[in-house]
Amino acid sequence: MPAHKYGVTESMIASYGDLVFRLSNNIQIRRGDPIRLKQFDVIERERADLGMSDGEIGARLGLSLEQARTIRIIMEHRRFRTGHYQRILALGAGKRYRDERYLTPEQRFAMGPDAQRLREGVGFAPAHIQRMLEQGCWNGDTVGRWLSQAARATPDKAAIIAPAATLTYRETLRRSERLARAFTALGLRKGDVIAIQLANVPEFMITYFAAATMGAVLAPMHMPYRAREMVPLLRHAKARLAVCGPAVGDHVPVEMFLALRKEVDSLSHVVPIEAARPGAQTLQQLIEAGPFEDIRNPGVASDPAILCFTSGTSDAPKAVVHNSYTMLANNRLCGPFYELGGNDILLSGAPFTHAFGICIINFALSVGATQLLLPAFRPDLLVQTIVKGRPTLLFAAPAHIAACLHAGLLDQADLSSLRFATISGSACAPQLARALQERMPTGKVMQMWGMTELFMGLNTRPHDAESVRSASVGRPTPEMELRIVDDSGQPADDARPGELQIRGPSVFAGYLDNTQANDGAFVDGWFRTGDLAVRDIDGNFRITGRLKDLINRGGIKINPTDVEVLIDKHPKVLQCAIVPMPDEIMGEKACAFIVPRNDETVTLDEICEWLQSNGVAKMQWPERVELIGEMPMTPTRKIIKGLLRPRA
Amino acid sequence: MKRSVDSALAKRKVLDYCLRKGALCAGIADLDAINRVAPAGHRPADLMPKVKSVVSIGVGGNTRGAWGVSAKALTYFGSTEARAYKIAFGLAFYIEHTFGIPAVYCPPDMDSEAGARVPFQSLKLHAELAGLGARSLAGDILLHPEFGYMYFASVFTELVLAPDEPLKENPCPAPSCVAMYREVGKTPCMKFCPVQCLSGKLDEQGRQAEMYYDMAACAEMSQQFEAMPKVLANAMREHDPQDFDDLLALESKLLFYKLSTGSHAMFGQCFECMRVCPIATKAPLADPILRSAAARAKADAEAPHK
Repeated sequence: MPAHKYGVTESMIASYGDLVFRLSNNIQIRRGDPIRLKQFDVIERERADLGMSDGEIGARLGLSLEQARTIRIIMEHRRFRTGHYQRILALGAGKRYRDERYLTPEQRFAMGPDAQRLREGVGFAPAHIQRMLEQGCWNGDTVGRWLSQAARATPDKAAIIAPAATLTYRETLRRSERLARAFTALGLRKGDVIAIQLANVPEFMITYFAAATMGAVLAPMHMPYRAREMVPLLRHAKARLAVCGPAVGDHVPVEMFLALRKEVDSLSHVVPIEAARPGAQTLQQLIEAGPFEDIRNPGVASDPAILCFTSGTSDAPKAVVHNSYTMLANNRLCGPFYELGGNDILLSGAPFTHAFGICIINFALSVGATQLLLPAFRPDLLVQTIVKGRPTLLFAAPAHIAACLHAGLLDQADLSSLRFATISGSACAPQLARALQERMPTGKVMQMWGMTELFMGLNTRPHDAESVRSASVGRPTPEMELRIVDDSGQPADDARPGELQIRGPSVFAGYLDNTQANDGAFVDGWFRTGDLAVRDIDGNFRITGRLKDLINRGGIKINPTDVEVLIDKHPKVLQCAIVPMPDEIMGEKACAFIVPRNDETVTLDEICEWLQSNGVAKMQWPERVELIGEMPMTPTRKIIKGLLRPRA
Repeated sequence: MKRSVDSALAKRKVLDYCLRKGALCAGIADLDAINRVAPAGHRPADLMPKVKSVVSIGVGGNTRGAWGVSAKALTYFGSTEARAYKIAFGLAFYIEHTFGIPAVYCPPDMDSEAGARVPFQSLKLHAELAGLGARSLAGDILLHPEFGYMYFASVFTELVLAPDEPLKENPCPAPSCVAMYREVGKTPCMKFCPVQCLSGKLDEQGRQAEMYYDMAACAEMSQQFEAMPKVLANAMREHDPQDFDDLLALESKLLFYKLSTGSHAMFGQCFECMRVCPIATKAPLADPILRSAAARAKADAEAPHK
């Protein structure tokens, strides 16, 4: 019956509600043990505290039984907090309730606006997600899961071999989990971004694993970057914490990042790997601090895992967000044809601050293999690490191999441990691959093509002929689809060059908060790589250049890549890059930027004679030469043509 | 038809029946004492006008492992209450068949006129007065020094049975709990209650001086049937269709399901105070194997020397 039928009004509830609630069983106070001792006088005296029936309450307060009951029920209804029982759902099985440690589900699981924004960065079409999961291309694997599995299976095996220390999987897991808890204690939550600027050192991997464990997003920053380059990236990533390395000359990263907190609103914490500062505990101090709470909301595969800025061959860096689905699919699917196993030792010449380097970390982790570390590339150190560390797989850029070969360091080096040496990162001349192959007695040189946006897209296979492995980047990696399209966007025939487009499990969803970059980045679900490629009749791809590097000379498209390779061979030339220069009549003409060898001078005429003698058609010749002292390069040793174009 | 009954023999038979059927203990509550404590409308005569005796039955016993399972699973270990009801149900028939005197199984549910937290009859009061347990600092949950934490059921009968006495000593707080209270001002049950609904004071001898229990807060954890009207009312007031759906989705769906199937699960899942209670979790005779051994030892000791 409605309350007003008993005469219960809001005014009555306001007057009697608290009293009725307290006198009823809702609040019980018992002094002594009167019922057991049958102290009936005490019971009577304290009945109000022990809890009264509705009738007793009514009699005491001058209300009817119905009024007392109605008021009590209304008060109980109003005060009852729903969802409170969730407090106990995580209890038991060894866990005790601690009020000071309790987090509501909202606190445990809710993601802030920045984390939600990152999730949108991996917002794939529902049909794509469903297809990838049903096909088994994506699953629940995460870096944290792989690390735990390896630590459980082979706790005493080396996970990381660095010049100064070797860490077992057990110790790697211990440090990573402790660091993840320490990050959480600092207030970081799932989806928060951790920027990292470190060489290929164990601390990079520990931080990466810790971020993955707690569901944070790692944003690697290239080592050469300083405050000017860093600020827009940190702001774009909304980084909350930065991990940095020791001083290099006058550059003291920890001081730079501490100072950047004034310019980057989101940046709250700076963690150097050595030399603590006020307000900046070292990584080791965080690892050893505690005890901390368990991670209650660990990262899962669909969460954003990594935020990489593209390597910079474009005019402006673009942010690529990968979750564990896209980040780990390649590693899992390519492992079998590399015959990757737990006994392998992987060495990355690529920096971990690049997607290529991250990919190699994940590759080793996928099978519980060992990561051999080369903190920073130097030709002699790379060769020394191979000889002493005896890796079974080497991943390097063409520039790394070229530098070692030019220095003659590979002529006598013992490369017998290598099963595979995979070259990637930029176009590799066939003669470079062959030169390395000649120095590998048992292993095979492979080539791989990839991008930050998709990790590994093409790969030669171990059983390919040497000619295929040295002159092409092979065939699509498992479950990836590639096509070459012509100027009109139609699929091109074999042997006809065109733009390389790709789709599949490792391809990202789009650039983060960058409408301009996303416009035209995808066509019908295919990612436009911007690379030019040609496919032979056996299905092997060869990268022939960059679409934006094409020079449109009066309507004729000139691909400068082959010409650059020839000019690089000129005895007076150390390095060459050809970019378009504006021309009033032809629209564009070719301008060659040349770094001369040994400070020599080289003229346009000499270059043209050289090209003529090598049978290059005149229309492909550059029409201007600019001598420069140093070529602008990305951290992965790719020429940044975007910086040359304005000077042409 | 009523038969002539030897009251002492009848009591022995009644109690033996209970123990034979799996009760940890049983006893007869003092009807006069019940009537002086229970409020009008909740006295045995309100259910059975000619009631002469109240039989209380205690059932329980969890393995140590069971006390450690996750909270959401522990509720299923609490189904011992059904065993108590079963014994009581059988006992009512047993009394009528054996003695020809009416008996009634006391319904263990709430009084629908009195709201969600008021029972027809206080089974706890019956048990306490029958000596099956004493009130603890954990919200007056009854504890027995040998059988620990139990579920109770009652049978009312017109058969006259001599009442038992309540326990002479209250086992709560246990010595370790007293020690903790003196260190931190809380016993384990107070410290680990997820909604902090318990507090209290001990006297200088370590006995209970005051027990404070916020049953309303406890109900938020353990009586989720009360959540449903609130969830529905909140949903009705919600204007945003998405928020409306959200309020009725996820965990609420499970509550709806549990309610519609009449399941008690999710309604009594919080045992955190009992998990940390040494009397509940280490009761020596709640373990059936130890109980049998103790019974054999007692029989041997009482047997005449051969």
